[in-house]
Amino acid sequence: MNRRIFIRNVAAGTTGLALGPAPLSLLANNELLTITILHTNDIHSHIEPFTGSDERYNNKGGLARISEIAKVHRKMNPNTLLFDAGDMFQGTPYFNYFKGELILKTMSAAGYDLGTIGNHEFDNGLQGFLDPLPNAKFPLITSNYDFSDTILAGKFERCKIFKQDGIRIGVYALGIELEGLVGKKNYGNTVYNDPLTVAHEMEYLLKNEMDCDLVVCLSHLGLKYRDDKVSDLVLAAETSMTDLIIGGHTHSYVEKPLVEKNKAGNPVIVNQAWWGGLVVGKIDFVFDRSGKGKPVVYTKNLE
Amino acid sequence: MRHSFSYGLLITSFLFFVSCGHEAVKTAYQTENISVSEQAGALDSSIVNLYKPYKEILDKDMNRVISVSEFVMEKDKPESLLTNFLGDLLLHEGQRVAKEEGMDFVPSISYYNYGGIRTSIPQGDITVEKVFELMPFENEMVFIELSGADTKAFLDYIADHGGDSVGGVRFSIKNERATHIKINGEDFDPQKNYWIVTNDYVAAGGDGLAVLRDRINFINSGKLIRDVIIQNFEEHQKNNEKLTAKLDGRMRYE
Repeated sequence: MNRRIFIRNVAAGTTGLALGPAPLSLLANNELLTITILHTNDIHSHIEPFTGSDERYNNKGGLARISEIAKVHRKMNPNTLLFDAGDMFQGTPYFNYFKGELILKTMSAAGYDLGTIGNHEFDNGLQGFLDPLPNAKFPLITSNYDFSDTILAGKFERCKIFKQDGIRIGVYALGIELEGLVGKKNYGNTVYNDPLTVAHEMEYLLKNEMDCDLVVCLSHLGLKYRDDKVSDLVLAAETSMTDLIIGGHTHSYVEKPLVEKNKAGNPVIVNQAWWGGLVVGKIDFVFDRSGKGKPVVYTKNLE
Repeated sequence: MRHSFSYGLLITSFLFFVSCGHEAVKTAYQTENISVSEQAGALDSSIVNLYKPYKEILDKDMNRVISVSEFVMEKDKPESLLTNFLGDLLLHEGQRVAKEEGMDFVPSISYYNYGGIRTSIPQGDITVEKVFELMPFENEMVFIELSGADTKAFLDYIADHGGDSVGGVRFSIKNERATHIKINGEDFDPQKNYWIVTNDYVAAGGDGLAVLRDRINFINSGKLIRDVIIQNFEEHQKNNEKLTAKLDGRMRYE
């Protein structure tokens, strides 16, 4: 699919957005560039498709299919990135038998570009996370866990910037509070920093100092809670420069990615891809590199 | 004159703005959640080849028969073959572990949360895989010491939920409360502390069991409940015993 056809598809697409009828001059503009972000979360060591009698699961999901889907998308658009929002570990006997080794090897082979740390990454303790790490050929980042006083010190950057045909995509990552969720002996001296404070710091850094065109948050905080616990929806409302929040932890099945209003009144996309590789989230951003395009604005989704 | 000057300024500043606008502008987005079915993506053969040798090792072990069950055991409330079977197994193994580890107590009640039992046990051969299906969670066996009052509150919780998987205790359910309680064959003594063997999930207050956090003592055995079950099944097989259970009215409505 070439770029022009794609743009037309965007304009004709039913998925909600603020493009409107695109002027012909814009369609002819080769300054336009599409960035595709594919994402998963809570893979939970589902390498193969699920089996069993439940139609919602049987023969679906798993990294072998995800890998193929990512390949097809990369062929269509070389500016495709594949991210994961944590909880790669635990959930099938593959993890019980081969620990973190096999899942990290498989995700590397599937071409993941970036991942972050879920609470289940601590299931075999800090040593059980450190040992299989060399199998991950893609970076893992975390912005709010501080591992300085642990054996994982220096293993994870706080953010990552991708440069795709002149577009700078900055990604930061937030992990969930470990106390009460993970045994103390498993996380040791890991320090958990407040996600909202860190989010403000990171989005400012990526947008204003590192000059990113797109700011993405990989979150393992969970989509939403009944109480006032920090979640992706809280994060969406409280941040002002984050364009996309890719979530995890709550295994939320989201029919269609959500478009929320951020603190500055601009749109922020919040999504989660169920679990076990049963869903891949796909977010396309269209950029006009000439700077002449009309920026997207928040429009209340009326569906 | 004044007007034309203003327009001129406006046009100039507009041109200036545009010519300096090198920053990329996000002009549109499109989103979709793709269901990962066969239609969406075939199996990537390079991934299949990668995990194949691991799968062979796994399948060989998963298909290993470790016991034989005398009959089908399913879970139900207030009691059932499966919940009684698992409750008794956990009490037996908890008492054994406490003894082996030289603990100065013996657990007298076992508890497994009903929702954590994920499948039934079929009649005949039981494989390792079946135990993984039964208990997919990485829960550890833990010991909790509760005061008499909290033990009563804990049993009331079970009564209020219409029964659960327990061992070592018998009681009647009346008005959602536990009455006529017998622990280890003796009348319940509200002045006495009791040790419970259970999993770390409920010990952390999971399933609304906040009462288990009001404990006097807490010891984690560090053993996975699933491993304990596998070991127990293997021992049955070694002794040529089939897995069996019975309904004994340990929890009944009054």
